[in-house]
Amino acid sequence: MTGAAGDGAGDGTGYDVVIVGAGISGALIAKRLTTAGLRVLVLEAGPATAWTFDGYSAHLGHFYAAAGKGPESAWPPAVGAPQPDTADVRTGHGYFVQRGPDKYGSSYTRLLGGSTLHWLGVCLRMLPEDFELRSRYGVGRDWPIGYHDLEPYYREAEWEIGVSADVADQAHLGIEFPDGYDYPMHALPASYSDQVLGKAVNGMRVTLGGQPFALRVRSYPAARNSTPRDGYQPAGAVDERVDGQALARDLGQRCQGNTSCTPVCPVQAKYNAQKSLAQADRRNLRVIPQAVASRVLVDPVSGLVTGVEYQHYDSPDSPRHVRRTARARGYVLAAHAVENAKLLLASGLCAGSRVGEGLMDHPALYAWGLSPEPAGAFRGPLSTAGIDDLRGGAFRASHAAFRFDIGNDGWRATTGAPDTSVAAAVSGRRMFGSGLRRHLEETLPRQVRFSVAVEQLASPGNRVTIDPRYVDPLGNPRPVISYRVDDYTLAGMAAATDVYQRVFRQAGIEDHTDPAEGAWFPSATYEGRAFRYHGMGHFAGTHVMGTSAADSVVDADQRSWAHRNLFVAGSGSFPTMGTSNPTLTMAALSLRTADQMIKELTR
Amino acid sequence: MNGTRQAELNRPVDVKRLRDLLQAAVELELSTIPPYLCALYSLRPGSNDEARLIIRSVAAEEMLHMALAANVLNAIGGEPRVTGVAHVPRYPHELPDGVMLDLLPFCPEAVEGFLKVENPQYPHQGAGPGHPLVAGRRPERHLARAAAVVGGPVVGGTVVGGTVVGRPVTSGPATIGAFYTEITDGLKETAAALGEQALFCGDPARQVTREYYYAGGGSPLPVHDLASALAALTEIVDQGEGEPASMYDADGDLSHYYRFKQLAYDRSYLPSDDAGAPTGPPLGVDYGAVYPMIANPRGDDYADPGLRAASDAANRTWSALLRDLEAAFNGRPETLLTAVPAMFRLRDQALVLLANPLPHSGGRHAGPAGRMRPPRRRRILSPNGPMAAPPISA
Amino acid sequence: MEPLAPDGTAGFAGEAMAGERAERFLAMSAVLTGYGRVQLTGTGLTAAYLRAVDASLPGGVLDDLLGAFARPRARAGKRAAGDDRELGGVPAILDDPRLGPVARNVILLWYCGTWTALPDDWHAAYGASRADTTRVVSPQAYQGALQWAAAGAHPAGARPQGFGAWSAPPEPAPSAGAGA
Repeated sequence: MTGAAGDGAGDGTGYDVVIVGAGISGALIAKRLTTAGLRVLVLEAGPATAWTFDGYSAHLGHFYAAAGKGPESAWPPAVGAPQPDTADVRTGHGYFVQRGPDKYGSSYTRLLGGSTLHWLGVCLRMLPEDFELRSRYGVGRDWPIGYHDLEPYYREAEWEIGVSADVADQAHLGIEFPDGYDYPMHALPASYSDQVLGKAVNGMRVTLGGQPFALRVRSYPAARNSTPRDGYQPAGAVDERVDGQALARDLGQRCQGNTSCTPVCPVQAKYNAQKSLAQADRRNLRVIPQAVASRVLVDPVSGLVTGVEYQHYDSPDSPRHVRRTARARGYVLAAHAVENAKLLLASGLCAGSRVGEGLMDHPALYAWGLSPEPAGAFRGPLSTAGIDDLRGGAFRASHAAFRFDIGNDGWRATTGAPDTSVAAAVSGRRMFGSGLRRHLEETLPRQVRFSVAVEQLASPGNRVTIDPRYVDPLGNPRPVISYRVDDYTLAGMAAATDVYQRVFRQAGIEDHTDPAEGAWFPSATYEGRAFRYHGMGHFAGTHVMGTSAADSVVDADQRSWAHRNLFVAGSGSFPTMGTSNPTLTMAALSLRTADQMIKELTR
Repeated sequence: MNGTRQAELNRPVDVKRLRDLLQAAVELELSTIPPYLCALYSLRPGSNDEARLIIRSVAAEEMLHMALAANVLNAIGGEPRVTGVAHVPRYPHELPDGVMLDLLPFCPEAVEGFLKVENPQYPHQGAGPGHPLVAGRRPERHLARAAAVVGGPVVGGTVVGGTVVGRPVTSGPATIGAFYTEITDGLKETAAALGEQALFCGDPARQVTREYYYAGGGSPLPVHDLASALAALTEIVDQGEGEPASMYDADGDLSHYYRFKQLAYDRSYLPSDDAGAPTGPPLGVDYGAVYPMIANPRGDDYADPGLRAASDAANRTWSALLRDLEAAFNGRPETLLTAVPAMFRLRDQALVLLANPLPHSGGRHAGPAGRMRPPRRRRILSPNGPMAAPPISA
Repeated sequence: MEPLAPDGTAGFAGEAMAGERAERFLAMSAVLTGYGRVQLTGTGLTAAYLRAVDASLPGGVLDDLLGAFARPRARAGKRAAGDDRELGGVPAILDDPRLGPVARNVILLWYCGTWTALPDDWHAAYGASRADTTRVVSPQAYQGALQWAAAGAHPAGARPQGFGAWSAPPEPAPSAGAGA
């Protein structure tokens, strides 16, 4: 990959900053630091196979040929950098060692670009009240910063990522924007099914905790290219071939409606972290893929980090590797909430703190049904709208908040449609010929599904630890997960179930939600009811930020209390999650961290 | 150039002639697109990835050129037309410099044809009447409007629906570049003679800008004065042939001519290569992995009713696309929002045709004919129940 | 790779001269799927599907199925009156313990682009081919699967409809049998 000036190639010397991880946190920090003139080395555990467009297309081909089309189906990992797979949740065998009692249902990707390669692209801001749950509702804990501290960085993150939305639609539940601000691109057009559902549902009232709410189908801010506003040029596909013409950069300038944001956008109209890396000042940047950080070295007296030991493997198919050490003045761990915690624990760092504790997810419910009229399923981005009105409110003193995502992809995620619908008609009902064709033409377009993300609070019992009995092919520890969905979240699931059923009734949607018909998901029980939930891929809490070293791992700048030249960046820093995808918030935090690092390192 | 042409150039260019020339430019750019799309869609799925990217990129830039030409025409008060028998290209299609455009599948002859379009200095054979692709029939060729407008008097030709059919006696501009030079010279002269503001009297709301146009290859410049008009026209020539001294356009991309040379040699240009043969890695061109489309498909002579219906559907989509483009170029640029889905639908319909063999054709396959058809009234479902409504795009 | 056609031209031209067996396979597939020959041929997948079926079945099974469909009542898609022992109509074929699952697999092949492994008891009774595994036949088969057309949509991750197309009401499906 690109070389940096005077980088002393093999042994990783001569850098100002070493960043572990080339996901969105690492990429944004690398871009900002290199642009400010700092020399940056990025160590990425996975291969950089998606960096050239034909490499990216090979991933796409992998997806087409895969029997299962889950989030990981386009992104097979290297032997040296294994990753969790949602398919492993059921079998219990995989990268994660799941101690339970409940299954942790999320996964992530260890490749250059990280989980942004397969994410949906939802870029909601957290609500002001999400930052002060304890003060307001007596649950969870407060952040050491508030919404207004982060707000300028939300704007910067929205422009760095390239988010499509209209401010007029997004100023609700306390979210505020300065006068004159708008997102870089107009909101993506609402899908036909959003419009149909909106006509039926907008304005309907529900009561939670005695408080009335009016529901509205609302377009969400998305990291997908749409009609630009003045001054913004949408970034298309990354095409970093060494020979030949980088023609693929013309692709992806607008969303085409490929309906496969997860697991892979064929044209990169959706943001992925490679775009930020490509936009970095490349003279100051060196990226070493297939380099697994295995140990952070620390001076026992000063507590300062003196280097990062890493294992560089030649082939994605083999664990054979060499060990090297990277050194710099400042260090960033941006390897993912779980991998950051794992690395800190494996290095014996942040002793006495709560590294790994407080692991959170958004366990989410699926609901699916048939709408009375064709809704145009299986078209457009995977989703374009949701229902946000129950993300905040006084009821949060008693149970979790939740947010609806309204799918455009029929029952694909819930039952494996359209394939399973065809199989049910052919094998189950012995249909064939024009009768079969008409049946499918009549029912497939009517499939609708909701995914309801339910908030989870941090609890010390939910944690990532390591255990010498469980190692990966490189000898690095596998994450050992202890996880329980507690009553606060389960009560939220119960409330969410009640609301979705009312919404279905209001819209005349025939409810087909049936665990027996759907794909397998783990379940948790509350008041005699079983709730099947899936992970949203939203990890948080494992290196929490706070106001003192006594009860947190990092400070408000994501700097480690114990090691003052080490920043631990990502959603692992979150004290609470709210109900939004952590990506935009962690991007904002990363930019804030980068600014702090620049101040110190360029003095 | 001969004496008649010289005399014509000395005459001050009037605005109507400029508008005719620019309309011819719009049609010229439009006429290059179906040949590129046929070559593109004929690539078997899963094959020829590099060729696919190259042809797609050129087709996208030709669309940009068409939008740029329309912007200039609109800026001087014209009304771009891309529908109707007089304006829709038919194939084989003769360009002003005598180059023949055929609808061909991806094959060496097609690549040679593309090279010739982008740089007529390039020597090529083309698909003559005896060529197996043509399958023994060579429909009457249609002369591009550009040739009729600039070529001077035509002897022995007849006018069919506004298009002259036949060969002009006097030669037109030697290259397409020269054709555009005639336009730019004319704009400068007329702006000087009439005043720039008087010439550029068009409604700015009719300009197509990057808000609605995004195929890649650049942004359509809004045109409102001489400088922007010249910039727009320079971009067309620059992207096609390349800057005078360089293989690359102003954005640092290989010009179309050199992109096609890569296909002809099946190698990519390295940044260090000069304008001779490219020395970079092979592109993996596989002429065998191509649907063997018949040259210049007609569609109206398919015996199979299913095939005729498929051809008809593609023609309707093509017609809808052109109607949307015309609306977009005439005060409703937001209509590009329906034009784009029409183009993607056309792709799907073309693929069905391309995979279907034509009986009694020596193994050739069907293909999109690109004929105009009137819209079909469609019932469109709405939340209030089915209702008859004008088609969004038939 | 495709074999060269007799005139020495590149193998894909040989698809046009697919042979009588492929024609019968196509005719049967049209009855089974409800899609016309032009649409089925238009997927470009006929030869690939035929190969997949041949590879995944013990010898003779496909030919017996094609033979059953060649009978007049089957070609017309009519229900056989009465006698189930004679495979007179499509429903009877679908009910046949040996040929029914294969016919259903052909439907799934065209609609989903996947071959579904036959159940163990079928193997026990009629034989097994080693290649009989559940799989997506190819990336092209995934994209050309008819289920997406039936949905009025496009294969997820491919052949998109274009920016904004998803806002328009879905196109009503062309009525079955209009040659489409």
